[in-house]
Amino acid sequence: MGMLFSKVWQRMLGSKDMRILMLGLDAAGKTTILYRLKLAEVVTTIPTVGFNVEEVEYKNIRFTVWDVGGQDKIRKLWRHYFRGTDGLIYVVDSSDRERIQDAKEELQKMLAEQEMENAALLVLANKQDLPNAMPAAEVMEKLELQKLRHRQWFIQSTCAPTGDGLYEGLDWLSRTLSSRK
Amino acid sequence: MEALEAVGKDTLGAVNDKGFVPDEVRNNFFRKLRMKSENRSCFECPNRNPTWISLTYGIYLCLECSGEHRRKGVHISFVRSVELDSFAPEQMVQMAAGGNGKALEFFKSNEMGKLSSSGRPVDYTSKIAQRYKAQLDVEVKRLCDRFGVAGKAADRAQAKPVEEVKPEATPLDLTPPIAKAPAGYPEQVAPVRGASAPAAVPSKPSVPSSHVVRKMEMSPAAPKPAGFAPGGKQMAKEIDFDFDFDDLETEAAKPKPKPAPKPDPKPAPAAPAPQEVFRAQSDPNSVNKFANKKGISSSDFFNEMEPESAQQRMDRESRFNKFSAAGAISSANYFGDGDEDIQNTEDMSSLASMAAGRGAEMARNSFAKGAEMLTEYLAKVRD
Repeated sequence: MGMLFSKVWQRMLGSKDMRILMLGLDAAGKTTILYRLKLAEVVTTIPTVGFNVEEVEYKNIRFTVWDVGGQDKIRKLWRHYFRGTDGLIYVVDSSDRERIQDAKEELQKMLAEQEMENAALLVLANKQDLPNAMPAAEVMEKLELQKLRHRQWFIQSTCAPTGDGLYEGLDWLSRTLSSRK
Repeated sequence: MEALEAVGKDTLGAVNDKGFVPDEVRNNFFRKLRMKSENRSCFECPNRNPTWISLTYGIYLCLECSGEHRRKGVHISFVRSVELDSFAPEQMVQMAAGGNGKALEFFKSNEMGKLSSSGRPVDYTSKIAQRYKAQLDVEVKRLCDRFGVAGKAADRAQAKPVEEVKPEATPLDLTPPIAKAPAGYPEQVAPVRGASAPAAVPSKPSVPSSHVVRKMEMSPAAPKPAGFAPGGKQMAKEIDFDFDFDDLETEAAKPKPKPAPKPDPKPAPAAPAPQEVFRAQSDPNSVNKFANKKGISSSDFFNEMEPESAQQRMDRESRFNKFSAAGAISSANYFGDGDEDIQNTEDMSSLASMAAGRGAEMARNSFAKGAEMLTEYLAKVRD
């Protein structure tokens, strides 16, 4: 019971720090999303060679969001960012049907890592504005989220330039993470 | 081609389990190509030593311009880094067949690109750009045959039978023939009419995976050329030379840029208009049931998690059904672990529509949070 109260207390007192890792294949829209959240504007991005990190304050949670490049070679470095990750935001280009399989493999591989055991998974089915974009349910199926029985996950369709869906995703993340510790 | 020859057939065939060539092969290959003066500045701007490429057009781009290309979406331009990405043999063939010189020349004669008198940027959605892509496709096909590369791609086709992709293959049928004129084709073809015999080349009907050069999806409009034989599998050599390119052009004018989807459950063997394929595709069995849901969660999804029986499959599908209208789905919704999520989504929309005001929403939120904490707490106690 005490735990419950301490949670309530914590919620009232406010901000918690959460380490969020934002990953996904190249050109999925990670950097655009990061700065859309941080600055509430659409920045002109170039491929991320390395990473960006920003603090985003939302609903009493201070998210430290690490946005790591998605190019093939950079993906091999993702694992160095795993430790201490509370939440994983996995960004998918919903219009890229040819690489959704790659996206699945990268995701599932990552989730199998011990360091990611406790990370809540928020999948953003991004680029919904593009023609022929897969809806959330299809992305869910293609990524085989339905096989992730022991993980809290949430998939949200988004469009980074308009911001559609981003805060819904963050809402889930903040709810899920704040109900944890 | 020298770059390809230098690499050699054997090396091209030696790919890892993901279908990529080793880094040294890639590096040697691109070192050769990037040494050519045509490739030493960005296709779009004067920046030197570009290390990014648009595979779609076989062109070299600087970092900034690669950002510009990525913004268009992969259906227009598929961007890779020659240093930070792995390459499949067919992608290397694409780059060997392409190059900034050829592309600049072609677009210049069509009043586009940085070398054109107007300096007007290339419109990658234009018919002209489509035509260039089609030419490139034919050349790539030819080289793939020659270097025995396409077979590899077919091997990797795994779960995707050829037929499934066939409808998408139609756009390629627009491709003018190149089989006869291998090297310097852009000059010949530039002012539209030079080439009049498009090839029915489903150039890579089976290339499935990421390394694909994305021909099919590239072509925004896939009119079915009149002379297309639905058999689908002809090679470049079996070109029907009686083709009227003008017809194709008029046809090409109709369709919208709506790339066809990859896995089409109903292959429609006679290759119907690709847009229709996509719409019709809407997969009646599974996904469609969630199709309109904007979010889906894990608890939406699971109630039990044993190896799936027929009954369970049905259950699962009905669960999909439940989410078909969702833009978001959470694990809690999905598996029925915590009903709060799905309630949230529903409440959210109904609240919004009723404009019920903040008080109600706050109440709902705190209720949901309370419920959430309670479930969480109970779960802990149970453990």
